[in-house]
Amino acid sequence: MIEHGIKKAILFICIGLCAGLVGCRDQEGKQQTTGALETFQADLLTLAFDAATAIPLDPHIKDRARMQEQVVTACLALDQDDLAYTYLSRIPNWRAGMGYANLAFKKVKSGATLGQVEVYLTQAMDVAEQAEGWRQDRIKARLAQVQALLGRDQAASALEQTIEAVAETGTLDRIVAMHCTPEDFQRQMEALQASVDTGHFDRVKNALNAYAELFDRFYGDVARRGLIEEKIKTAWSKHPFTTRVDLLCQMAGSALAHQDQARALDWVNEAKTMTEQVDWAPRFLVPQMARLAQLHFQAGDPVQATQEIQAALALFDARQAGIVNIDRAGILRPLAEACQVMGKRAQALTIYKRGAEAGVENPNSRPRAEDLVGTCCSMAVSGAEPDVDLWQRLREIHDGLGAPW
Amino acid sequence: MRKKMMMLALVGVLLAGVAMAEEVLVTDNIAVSSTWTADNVYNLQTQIYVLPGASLTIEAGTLVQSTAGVGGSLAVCRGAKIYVNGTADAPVIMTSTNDDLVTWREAANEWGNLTVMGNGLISASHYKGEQVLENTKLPDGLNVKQMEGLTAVVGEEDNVMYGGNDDDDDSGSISYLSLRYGGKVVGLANELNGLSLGGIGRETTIDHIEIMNNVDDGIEIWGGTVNLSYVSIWNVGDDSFDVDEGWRGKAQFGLIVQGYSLEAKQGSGVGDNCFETDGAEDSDAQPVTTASIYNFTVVGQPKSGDHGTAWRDNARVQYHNCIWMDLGEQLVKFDGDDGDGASGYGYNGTLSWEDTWTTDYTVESTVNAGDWWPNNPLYQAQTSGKLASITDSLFFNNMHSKAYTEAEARGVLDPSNNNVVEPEVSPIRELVRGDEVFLYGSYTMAPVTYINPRAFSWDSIFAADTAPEEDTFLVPAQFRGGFGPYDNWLAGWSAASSYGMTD
Repeated sequence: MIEHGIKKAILFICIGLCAGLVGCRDQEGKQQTTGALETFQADLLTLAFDAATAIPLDPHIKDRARMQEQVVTACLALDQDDLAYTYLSRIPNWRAGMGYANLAFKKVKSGATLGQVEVYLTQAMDVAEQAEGWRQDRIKARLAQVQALLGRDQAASALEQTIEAVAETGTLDRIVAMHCTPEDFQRQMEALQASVDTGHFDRVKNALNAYAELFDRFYGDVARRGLIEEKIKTAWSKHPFTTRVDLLCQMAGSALAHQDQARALDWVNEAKTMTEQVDWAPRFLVPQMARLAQLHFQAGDPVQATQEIQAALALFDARQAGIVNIDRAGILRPLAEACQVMGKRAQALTIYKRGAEAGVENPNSRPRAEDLVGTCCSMAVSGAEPDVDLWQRLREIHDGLGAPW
Repeated sequence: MRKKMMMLALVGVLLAGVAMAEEVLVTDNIAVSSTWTADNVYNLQTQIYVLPGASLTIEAGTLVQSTAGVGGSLAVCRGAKIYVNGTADAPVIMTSTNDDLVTWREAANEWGNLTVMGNGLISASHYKGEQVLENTKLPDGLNVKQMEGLTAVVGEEDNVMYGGNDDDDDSGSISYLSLRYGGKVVGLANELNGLSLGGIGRETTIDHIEIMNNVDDGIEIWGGTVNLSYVSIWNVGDDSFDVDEGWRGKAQFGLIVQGYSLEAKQGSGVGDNCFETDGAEDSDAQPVTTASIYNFTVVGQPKSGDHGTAWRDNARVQYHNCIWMDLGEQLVKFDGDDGDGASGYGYNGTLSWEDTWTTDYTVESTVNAGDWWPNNPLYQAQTSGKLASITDSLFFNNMHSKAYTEAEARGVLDPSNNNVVEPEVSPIRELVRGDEVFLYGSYTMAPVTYINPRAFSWDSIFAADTAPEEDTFLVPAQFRGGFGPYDNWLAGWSAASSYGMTD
């Protein structure tokens, strides 16, 4: 059960985060609430939330809330809904509303009914109404997605119409795509093409995300899948490589979720070729290499994956001096996560240790706390258990948090 | 009169505090989070950086008064934070040692400025025709650029860079900050803006900010999504409010008073444009400036001031509920591009200048479009109308022969825009100009010595038909200009107030 939970959480890292969705992928469609958790994972989440909450409200309320929300996201990835809900009550700004909405989304995606999530929707809306413009819009957009996921299209549309920024609208297409039936396929494709044809920057973006969702939904239908891939690759023709790489990785993730390693490998290799065409700064390139390594491994090419991890580490070592110290731990974490997925647990632990030390290179406690939260959440979600030394070090770092912030 | 007495008392308290305060010479970068307290006076001795990971908190009532001529300056790096916690009763002042805090002088360039750098998206693929670093025209979150006026130290190049992939970035908060007599660069033949904002994200909050007498622009914003409210820019030596590289924010409640700070050429002491808006570099890059300005009172220079709004490189800006008065030249000036001759409106399939004014705000350029991040939209600042517009505004005493030529051509004077054109009485309570000054052999300036910017009346002429929809950033102020008939939000904390130029 725990192994299953960890695997699912890792899949969440691979796919859920790239898709911008909070919540686990539940192929069975069963409702999940609070699942089993290893003690070390629970302890890591506790340590992370304590570290986030140690950040003083004045003047760092925004950073504190952002970090607390990050822990909530990790809780959701690990099916710790009750713990997430408890933590949400302690978030002091609009991010609590976002968290309630994400919690509702995750639960509905796992099969919950309106009655089971109504309390979260109400709490999210209460927070939204107190939030400033774009923050309010963002919460409402998520709530509209929840309503659409519940099949309450009218409520979803009504909510979407209260969103001020048009850029936040159109995300419902993605939810529709998640539930698209074969009978509705053609109509959905036409609707997305219409969105692409508007030329509206963010509508096109939302359409691409919806295409990716359709791609996953109709993966088993080779003809339709091919058509969607073609649409994606046409729509992205003027889009940055970062977008294309992201979509290719999503497509590879879909292939893996459908046990199609061969096709997954094709898309990962395509993403790798594309990545090599861009001159990325190390703070972007190293995590991207880690992501490719992880996908290569999952697609059945462990040799390539290992080479990519080594190359990414070498790049980090060579360029470390030029990377701002507050960025270093965040760059290392995806490498550790990839190693964990690849079964290189000792190497993952070593990298996590490096990350923990990198996180205290800055003399101020705010970035230290942020990296501590990042490390703890990453280890909890990826199922990497700290050894005695690392536990001691993480707790030392936590205990050392204090002025200067 | 009673308010003036109260203001003098406040200044008196401040001066008494200054006399007793201990001077702290700031000579080193801020690597460890620090708080500057009101019982000290902080004197910047060189270019000071708040380094990544550090926070600088400045208490209400703190004076940062740097030695004139040395060029001390303050910059906040990406990943660092600044919290300027001024209040209406106790503002934070950044100025030079030549400022006696009660008297306006013809001066600027006496110290540096406040520069804040963030991780928001910027479009800076090309500058003067040359590619900038490895930047592209796509909004991929990979573009960075060195901040104007800052010098990179070998091995610490990142400290002077702005731009990134996080439009939600948070550089802190700035409230009730008065910046005076600045613009000097350490060791370079260059100039600084009063407040420079590079790639600042929308989680950053800025309100009640004043720039008085700067040598270069008042505020310049490059990219990012930061919103501003209660902004006063007075007597700056170049553009008052300058935008570039894809700013996608909003600003509400402002006062621009064009003038001069030094006897020097236009752009280095004599005011240039009130608003200068560049879209992107190059103009077909994204993100492109797409912004909304509400409730500004803009007072130009009738003889030698430049334009009310200058437009370049595909900028898309909506001006609502504003007052434009005493402009030296045109209300709307089509500048085309930023001077490199390679681009401008219509370049590479982008919207033409004319079409930008007739195209709905929902229609965004597909040229070099992209999806830089799954969940965060790029363009949120405009929520209705056309991409470029001037609506619900009032134009008064703009006497240049071509003052309205381009505005008329762009439909600004169409009744549907609900603009009031040249009413018989001034839209503000009082404006006093000093004797004309002839500067640099070229410019005649009539400096504003006093303004009561409150709306003249609350009648149908001066009340706008529409107000911005409340979104808790925008206040639904149903009047034209930056001030209603009763409240002067500059009173009590600003240099203009301390110097007796408003009350």
